[in-house]
Amino acid sequence: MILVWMIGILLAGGFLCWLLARWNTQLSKWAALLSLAAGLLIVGSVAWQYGDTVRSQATWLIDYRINWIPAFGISFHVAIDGLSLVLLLLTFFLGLLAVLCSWNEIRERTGFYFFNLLWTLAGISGVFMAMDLFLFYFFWEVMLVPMYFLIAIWGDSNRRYAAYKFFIFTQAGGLLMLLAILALYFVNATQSGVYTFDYFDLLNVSLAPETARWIMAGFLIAFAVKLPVVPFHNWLPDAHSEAPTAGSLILAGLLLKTGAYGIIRFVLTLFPQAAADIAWWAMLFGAVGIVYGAMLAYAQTDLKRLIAYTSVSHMGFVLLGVFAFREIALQGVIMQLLTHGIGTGALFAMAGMLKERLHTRDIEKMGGLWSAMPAMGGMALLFTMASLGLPMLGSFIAEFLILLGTFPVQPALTSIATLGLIFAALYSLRMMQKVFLGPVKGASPPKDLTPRELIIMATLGISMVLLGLFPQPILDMVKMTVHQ
Amino acid sequence: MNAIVISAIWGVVMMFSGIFSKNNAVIRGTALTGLALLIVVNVMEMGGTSLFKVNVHGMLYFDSFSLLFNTIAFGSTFLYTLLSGRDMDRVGRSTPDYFALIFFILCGVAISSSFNSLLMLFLGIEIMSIPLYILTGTDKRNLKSNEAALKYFLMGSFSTGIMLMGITLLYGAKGSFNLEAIALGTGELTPMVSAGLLLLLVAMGFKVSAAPFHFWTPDVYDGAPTVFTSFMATVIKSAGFIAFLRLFDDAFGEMHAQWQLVVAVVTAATLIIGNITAVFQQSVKRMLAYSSIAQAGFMLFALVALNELSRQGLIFYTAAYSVATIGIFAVLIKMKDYTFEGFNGLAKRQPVLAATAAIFLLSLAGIPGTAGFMAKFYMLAGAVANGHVLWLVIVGILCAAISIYYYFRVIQAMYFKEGDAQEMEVSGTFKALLVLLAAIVVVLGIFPQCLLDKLYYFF
Repeated sequence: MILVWMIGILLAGGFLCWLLARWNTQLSKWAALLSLAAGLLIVGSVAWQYGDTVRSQATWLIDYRINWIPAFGISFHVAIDGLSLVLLLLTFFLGLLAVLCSWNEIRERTGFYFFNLLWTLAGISGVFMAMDLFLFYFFWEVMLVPMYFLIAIWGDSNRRYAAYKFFIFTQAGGLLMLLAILALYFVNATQSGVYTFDYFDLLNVSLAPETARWIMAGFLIAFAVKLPVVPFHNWLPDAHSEAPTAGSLILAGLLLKTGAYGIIRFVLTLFPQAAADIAWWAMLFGAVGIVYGAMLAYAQTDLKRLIAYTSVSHMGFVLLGVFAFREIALQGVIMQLLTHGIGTGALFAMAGMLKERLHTRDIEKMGGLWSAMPAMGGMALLFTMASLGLPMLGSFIAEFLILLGTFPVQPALTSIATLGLIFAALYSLRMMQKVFLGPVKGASPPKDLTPRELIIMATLGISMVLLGLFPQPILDMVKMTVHQ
Repeated sequence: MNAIVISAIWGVVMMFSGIFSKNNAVIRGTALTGLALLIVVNVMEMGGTSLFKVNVHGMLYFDSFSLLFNTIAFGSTFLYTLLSGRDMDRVGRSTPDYFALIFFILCGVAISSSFNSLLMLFLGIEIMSIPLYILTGTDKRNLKSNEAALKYFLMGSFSTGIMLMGITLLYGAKGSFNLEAIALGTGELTPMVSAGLLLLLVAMGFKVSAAPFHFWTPDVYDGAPTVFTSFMATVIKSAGFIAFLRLFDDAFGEMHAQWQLVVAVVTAATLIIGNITAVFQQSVKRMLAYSSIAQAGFMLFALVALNELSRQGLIFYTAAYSVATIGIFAVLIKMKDYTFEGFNGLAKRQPVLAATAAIFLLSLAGIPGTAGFMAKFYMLAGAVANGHVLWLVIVGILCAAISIYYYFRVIQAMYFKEGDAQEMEVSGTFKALLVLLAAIVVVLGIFPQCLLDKLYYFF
C-alpha cells in the first residue's frame, strides 16, 4: 500500500498545484515541493526499514496487488526490490531538485507546469514498480504525455518540433512494446490457459527461440528508443536542448533510466536465451554509441546539445554492461544509472542557470566566466570531472566496474569503449575551457550562484562524491537483484 | 423490439410537434423525452421485459450484443442532443423535422443492429440512409451542403444497388434470406456465394467508409452542417459497423479463413489512407472526416479477427469513439473558423473547452487512461489472438503513431499558440456537459469492464 501512496502523493500533489495556482502561484510551488519532499521521505523510510532485508534475502520487499480489469487478467500489481528502490530514491531526489530548479524559471502557467512535472514523476515511479505488464505500459505512457507538454509549452524557441519528435519516437516504440506484450500474453494463455499480464506468471512462459526473438525485439526497440541506443537517438538532442531546465534534468536523469530499467527487468529475465543470442550485437551498438556520442559531443557549440550527446555516450556503457551478463558489469550499470542521473542532471541544471543569466546556450559566446562566478565554476569543474570519469567520483566506479566486467567477455569491444573515455576527457575539458576559462566575453559579468542554486548544486555534488567514496551501500542494495 | 416501435412512433410525434409549438426549446424537450424513453425501454428489454409481442418470423433477433449497442447509440444521441441540439436552430427553420429524421434514423439503427435476415439488413440500412441524405442537405442556401447531399445520395443509392445485387445472388444460391440458412453448408465457396459475399463487402464497406470506397466521406462530412456531421460520424457509422460484423459473423463466419485476407487488405488500406491524408488537412472538420476513416480502419479489426474479444472490442470502440467524437464536434460547432489556426490560443480564452477537447483528442489518439486506448487495445488484442494477421497489427500500430501528429496539432494550436479572440457564446450547462463527457471518457478508459460487463449480466 505504501507504494500506492508514493504514486498517489504525486498525482494528488499535481492536481493540488494546478488548483492552488489559480489563487497563488507561490503556494503552488510550495505544494509541489512539499509533496515531493513527502514522497522522498516515504521512499527514504522504506529504504531504512528494509535496509537489512535487502542485503540478505532475495525476496521482493513490498508487494501489493489488487484486481483492475479481471476480464483480461490485468491487475494493479506493484512491487519493489533493491533495484526499484534505488531508482525510486533517485526519482524523488531528482524530482525535488527539479522543482527547486524551476522555482524562478517558470513565470507563466505555473500551476499547469507543476501538474505536468509531478505527473511525469508519478509515471516514472510507476514504471519502476509496476509488475503487471499492462500497468507497466500504462505508466510508460503516463510519463510521456506530461513530458510532451513540459517541452512544448515551456521549452525554448524550437520547442514544438522537439516535443513532436520526442513524442512520436517514444510512442512508436511504446506501441511496438504493447504489441510484444500482447503477443507474450497470448502465448502464455495458450500454454497455461491463464490469461494474465502478471510479470511473475509470464516469467514461466517457455518460448520457441524464433518467437522469443520477435517478442523481445518489440520490448527492445521501445527501451532502445528511450535509452537511447545509437540509431534511435535522434530525438534526444532536440528534446534535451529545447526542454526547460527541470525538463532536461528529468529527461536525462530519469527518463533515460526507464529504458535501462526495462532492459534489466524485462528483457533479460523474460527472454534470457534470446537476449544472450544478440548480446554481441547489443554490445557492439553500445560501444558504437559510446564513441559516436562522444565524438558528436565534441563537435557541438550548443551547451545543452553537448551535454545531451554525452548522455548518448554514457548510456552506451549501460548497454555494453547489461549484455555482458556478468554480475560485476551489471553492478556497474546500476551505478552508472545513478551517477549519470546525478552528474548529467547537474550539468543540465548548470546550463539552465547559465541560460537564465546569459540568454544563450552557445558556448562560443561564453568564456572566462570563472572570474565572475567562481562558485559555479567550481561546481562545474566537479561535474565535468565526473563526466570524464575521474576517480573518487561516482561515475569512475560505474565505468570502471562496467569495463572490468565486460573485458573478459568481449576484449575487443571493451577496448573500443575505453576509447570513449579519452573522447570524454576531450569534450569535457573543451566545455570547461570554452565556458569558464579563457578571455572574458560579454559586457556585464553575471551573478554567481544564489543560495537556492547553491543548495541544488551542492546536494548533487555531495551525493556524487559520496557515491564515489562509498559505493558499497548501493551495491549491497542491488546485490540480490543482480545476482538473479 | 421496444426500441424499434417507440422510435418510429416518436418520429411521427416529432413531425407533428412543429404544429403545436413554435418554440424550439419545447421541441427539443420533446425530443429529449423521447430519447430518454427509448433508453428506458431498451434497457427494460435488456432486463427481459418486452412491451410489444410481435411475431417477427425469425427476421429479427435481439441479443445482449445488439441491445447493448442500441443503448450506446441512444445514449450517444441523448448526449449529442443535449450538447448540440441548440445549434440545429442555426441550420434552418424546421427543427421538428430534423428531430423526426433523427428518430427515424434511430429506428433504422435498431433494426440494423438486430437483423437476422438480409431483407431486414437492407431495410435497416435504407431507413438509416435516406433521412441522412436529407439531413446532409438541410443547409439549403449553402452550395456545399447541396453538393454533399447530392453526392451522398448518388453514391449511397449506387451502393444500395450493389448490396441488393449481393443479396439476390445469395438468395439465388441458398434460397433464403435468413442468416442461419445462408451460413448452413458454406464450408466451400461456390462462385455465386463468393460473388454475393464480395458485393455485400463492397456495399457495407461503402457505408462505413472503408477504403477504397471512402471517397464520399470527406466531401459529405465537410459539406453537411457540422451539427449533423457529428451525428453522422458517430451513431450512424457505429451502427454500420455493428451490422457489418453481424452479417459477416453470422452468415459467413465459417468461411472466415477465405475472406479474411480481403478484409485485412481493406483494413490496411483504410488505415493508411485515412491517417496519411488526415495529416495534410488544413481544416479541423476535414481532418476529423479523415480521422473517422482512420478510426473505421481500427473498427474493421473486429471483422478481420472475428472472435469474442473483438466483438466486445467493437461495442466498446463504438462507445469510446462516439463519446469522444460528439465532444470534439460540439466544441467545433461553437467555432466560427474551422482551420487549425482558428483553435489558436483557445486554452487562454476557454480553458474548460480546451481541456475537455484535449481529453477527447487524446482519446481519439489512443493515449492510455482514456477510453480510446482501451478500445484500440481490445482491437489489437483481438487481432493478435487471431494470430494470422500480425502484419496488420503492425500497420495499425504505425498508423496509430501517425495519428498522434494530427490530433496533437489541435492540442498544440489550443495550448501553445497565441491567437486573436474568437467570440463564442458558451453556457455553463454546455461546459458542465463537456466535463461530464470527458469524465465518461476517462472512466471508461480506466474501468472498461463497467460497460462490457453489461453484455453478460444485467441488473
